[in-house]
Amino acid sequence: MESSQTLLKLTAELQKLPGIGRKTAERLVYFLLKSGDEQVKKLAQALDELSEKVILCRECGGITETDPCPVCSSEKRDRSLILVVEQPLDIAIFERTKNYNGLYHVLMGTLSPLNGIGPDDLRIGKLMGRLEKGDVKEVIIATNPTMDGEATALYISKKLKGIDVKTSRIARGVPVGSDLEFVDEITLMKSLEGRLAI
Amino acid sequence: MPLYKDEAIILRHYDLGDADRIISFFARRYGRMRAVAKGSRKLKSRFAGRLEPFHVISITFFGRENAELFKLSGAEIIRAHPSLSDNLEKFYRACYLNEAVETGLREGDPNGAAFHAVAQTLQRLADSSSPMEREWITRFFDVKFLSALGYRPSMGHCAVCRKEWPGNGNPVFDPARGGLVCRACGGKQNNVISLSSGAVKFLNRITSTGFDKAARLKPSPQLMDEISRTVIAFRNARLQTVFRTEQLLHSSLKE
Repeated sequence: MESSQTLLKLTAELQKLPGIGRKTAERLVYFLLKSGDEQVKKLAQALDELSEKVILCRECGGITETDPCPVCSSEKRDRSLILVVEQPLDIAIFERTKNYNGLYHVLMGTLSPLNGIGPDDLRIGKLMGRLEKGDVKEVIIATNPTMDGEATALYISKKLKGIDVKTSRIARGVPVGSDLEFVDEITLMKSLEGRLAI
Repeated sequence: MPLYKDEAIILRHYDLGDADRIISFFARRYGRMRAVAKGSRKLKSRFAGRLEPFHVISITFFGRENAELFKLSGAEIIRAHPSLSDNLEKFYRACYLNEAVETGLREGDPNGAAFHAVAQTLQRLADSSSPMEREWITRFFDVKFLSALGYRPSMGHCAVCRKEWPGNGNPVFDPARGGLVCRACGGKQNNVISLSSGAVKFLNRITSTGFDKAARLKPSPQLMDEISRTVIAFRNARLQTVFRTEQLLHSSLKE
């Protein structure tokens, strides 16, 4: 039996999403078909609103419905601190800790020479522009502890050398609740380098 | 399904789904391959920290014979090079090695000599102390890597008529024809590179010297310039590609 063009079109669109293959896309389509009109309309409306209302903050690059975003426009945030992250999603991860009260800056990626991504493809110029205003005293670089993330942190720290601002990198080490037996050599080495007095 | 165990260099990784990664690696006996590392992005994954680019690891993977994508079952670090991310120039050059592997070798084509060239060069880059030394290490790698692919530059005799060098007149290198060419064979064409006799001798030594002795060869800045120009032209003629990592390296050196 031939599938309807509408089903094929939706399956093809869903397949474009990360982590979704043909089978998963088909399962999602049939789930939507079974779940009735109301569910489908709610999903369509949510998708519509996503493209209409959700934007990137012109200051930090985070996901927001207001520009600047609530973090950038808040009077309660510490404006002398900027935490540099790779992706907008990373902001939510730090916000969940409820332990950071500064501002954010999203790079929209990392240096990735093998993928042709260089410094000009990241929001590093925008970060430098924010620092020129002179309110910021410290930049905390929180890129992932991968080879690309480390190189990006190194690049930013070099760029900030000539500016009167403290540059720091989030600590790397043994995860809470883990067992030393299963920690890799590099992480252990970094944890020794970054050890703290108690 | 057969289980494979080998020594491998991690080339790069891509995110897959919520917590998985596809790892692209270059194995000594099996060549360039890809495998899924399930859960490797999770903090407490047994793969965490072991699958970063440039790590030399002991790898275990399984899958159907001739599969395009294998499944990773084990990874232990043999040699890591953390200093490659402490210096941007080192980082870009190490990325260049990985791009060369991805450009020059098809998936599943084993090449022990190319593996040796990459592994040795990563170690030398990690230990290097100056930009000049790193340029020399990279160009030495080019010659060894291209030789491993079957593109050894012809330095002892004319690349066309095979007459033994020295030929008549100044030595000229023709990148397209793969080495020195004598005057009779068209050594006066526009796309050839004039070389000093010192550069010819040096390039000749590179082709016959192993990695163990490479550190003892120390070209002067002028000689290095000649060697870089010649080797890069030869590589471009053979591989016919623009290296993205090299473009980024050049712009970072200008900064």
